[in-house]
Amino acid sequence: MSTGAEKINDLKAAILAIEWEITDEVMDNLTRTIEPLKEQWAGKKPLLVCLQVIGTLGQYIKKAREKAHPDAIKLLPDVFATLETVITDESMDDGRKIVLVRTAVDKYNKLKTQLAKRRKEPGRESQPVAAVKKTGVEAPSGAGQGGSTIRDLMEQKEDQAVDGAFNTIFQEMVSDDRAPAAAPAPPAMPSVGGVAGPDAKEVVLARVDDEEFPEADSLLDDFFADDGLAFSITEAKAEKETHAAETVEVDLGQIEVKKEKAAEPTPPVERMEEEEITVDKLARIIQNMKYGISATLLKQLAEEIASLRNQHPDHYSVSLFMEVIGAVGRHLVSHGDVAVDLSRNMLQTVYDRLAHSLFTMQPQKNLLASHLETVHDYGKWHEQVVAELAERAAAEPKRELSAEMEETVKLIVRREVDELRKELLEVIEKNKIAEES
Amino acid sequence: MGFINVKKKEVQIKIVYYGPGRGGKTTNLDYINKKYKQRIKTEMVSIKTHGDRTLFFDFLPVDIGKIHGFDIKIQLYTVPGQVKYNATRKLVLKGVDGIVFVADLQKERRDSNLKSLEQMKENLLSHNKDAFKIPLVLQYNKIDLQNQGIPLLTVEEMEQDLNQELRVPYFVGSALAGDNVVETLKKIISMTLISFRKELQ
Ligand SMILES: Nc1nc2c(ncn2[C@@H]2O[C@H](COP(=O)(O)OP(=O)(O)OP(=O)(O)O)[C@@H](O)[C@H]2O)c(=O)[nH]1
Ligand SMILES: [Mg+2]
Repeated sequence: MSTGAEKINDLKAAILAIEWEITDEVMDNLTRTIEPLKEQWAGKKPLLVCLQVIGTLGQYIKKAREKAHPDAIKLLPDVFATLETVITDESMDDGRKIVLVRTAVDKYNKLKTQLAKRRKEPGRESQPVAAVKKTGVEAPSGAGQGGSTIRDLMEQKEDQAVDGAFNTIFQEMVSDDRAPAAAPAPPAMPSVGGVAGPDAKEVVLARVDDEEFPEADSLLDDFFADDGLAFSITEAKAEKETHAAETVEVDLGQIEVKKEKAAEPTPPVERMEEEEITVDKLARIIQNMKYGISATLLKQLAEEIASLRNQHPDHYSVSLFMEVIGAVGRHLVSHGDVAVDLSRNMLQTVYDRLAHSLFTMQPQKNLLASHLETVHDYGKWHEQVVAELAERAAAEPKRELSAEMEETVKLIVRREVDELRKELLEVIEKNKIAEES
Repeated sequence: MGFINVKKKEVQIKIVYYGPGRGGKTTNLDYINKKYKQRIKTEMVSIKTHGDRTLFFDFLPVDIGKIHGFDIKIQLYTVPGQVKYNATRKLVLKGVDGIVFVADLQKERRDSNLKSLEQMKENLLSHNKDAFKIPLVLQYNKIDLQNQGIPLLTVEEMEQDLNQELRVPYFVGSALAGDNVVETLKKIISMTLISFRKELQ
């Protein structure tokens, strides 16, 4: 296999590059590296099947770009790993190798079915992933391979139009910046706000080398101090895992409760099997919040968002809407009494936009507008939340300040006093010198 | 341009994490957000596509406290690193006060680091800003990969490639493990505040 070693390394590099960036160049390079291997392995069916799967996935990813199904991007290195094992592992017998390749092909077929399901619509037959041709190893037989359907084209158009419109807007914003006249604030950028305004002064910052700012340093030291907050990556992972475990426990709990009642286990919902994303449950949860926000509702909201998010990773606006709903929900979990009405309205508004963008094929401008409005609304909402939090902290400093915060404030005050004292001493010292001379 | 509101006694500072795709910008912010959750009190927003790529930007507002009676409000942003999103990157850079350039130590990313830094300089120019003047810190990220036998660039090579002319502070770190993440942020805030100092007094 020594002759193949180098070429397979090229292939490996080409696949790794996709991890970083999906560009035409990277994808074409993948196709290029496959060709010589096909010739070299002529007649070796298992190897050819792997190559074919890699090639087909590559073409699909090139076409779909960042909208490609995440599993397609994950499958690519998987299939390569199989190929590498089959080539390099001399101790493995042929039967085992074929099993390995078959497993890879099965994964590919599963993905293909998923994609077909995801896109299954009346009159819609196009297959984003072409079928692998029949070969010695049982390769999948492709379902329909028609051309683009109307919906296909519409979706494509919409995406392109949105992208195009965004780019225009961005360009305008960016070039506004150079114009001397006051440019309108970009709607797409959230901002804590409150500082800019008639009283605000803009300061253009220039780097100052070799200077120190002890007050700033001590504030930073205080804020970023490690007291009790130490956090390592192992803990971070552990936290994630516990979190996941918690969710599972809840699910199990619910199933068990149901078991007791109905004596019949409810099978867990298989999300992947769903053809269409359904936001009915989300609608109910948000609707119910109007009558009162409870911990249970918030938990349901978080869970629903988490599961919906996985189903629709490739739709920018939908992701944005879900992110915002998720963020507002998390805010309510931690501060259930701050900006409640505003948050409720925000949830409803963004939900409406989400539902709208999922179920209607509105003219493209609407989606773009609600996308931008959502970002803008989020900024406003955020501003309000921060203001209310600050107001509350100011009104009831004793009760609001945690011991930790109190300690921090004390430290800052102490430092400022120290600083003053130092300055005072310096003045006295200077006066002394002046007097003496 | 930072904003200073004398009446409200507030200072608003915008820090942007910039760098090549998959270099670890979002991971930096994630770490800060997790570690200081209780102090930050507000929500981090990030808009990602699958595979955790930043689509528009991540946004994390942090109020660090007062200096000379001024509330210091820091806004942390990341840009999307993928080449095709330069319009977004330009937009995010608008009004930036300080930059952390997150470079990837992996040998294979050498070219991407260089290209990204060059483009950053150009993008800054389009906002009438100068990479040689704005507060800037470099972070050489993913040093933890050296234990996994992945070919990395040396610090000297990184310095040669990226910092020979700029001559700004740099940190070798691991956003994933949290090594030098906080130090990087402290440094850039501190540099930015130093440039602000005259206004604060
Ligand atoms: N080993 C290692 N991996 C890291 C480190 N920092 C980030 N990563 C990984 O690199 C990948 C990309 O990290 P991100 O933080 O999403 O990168 P980014 O710069 O935000 O990427 P874009 O949003 O595409 O511009 C993720 O899988 C991270 O876990 C690090 O210090 N060490
Ligand atoms: Mg990112």
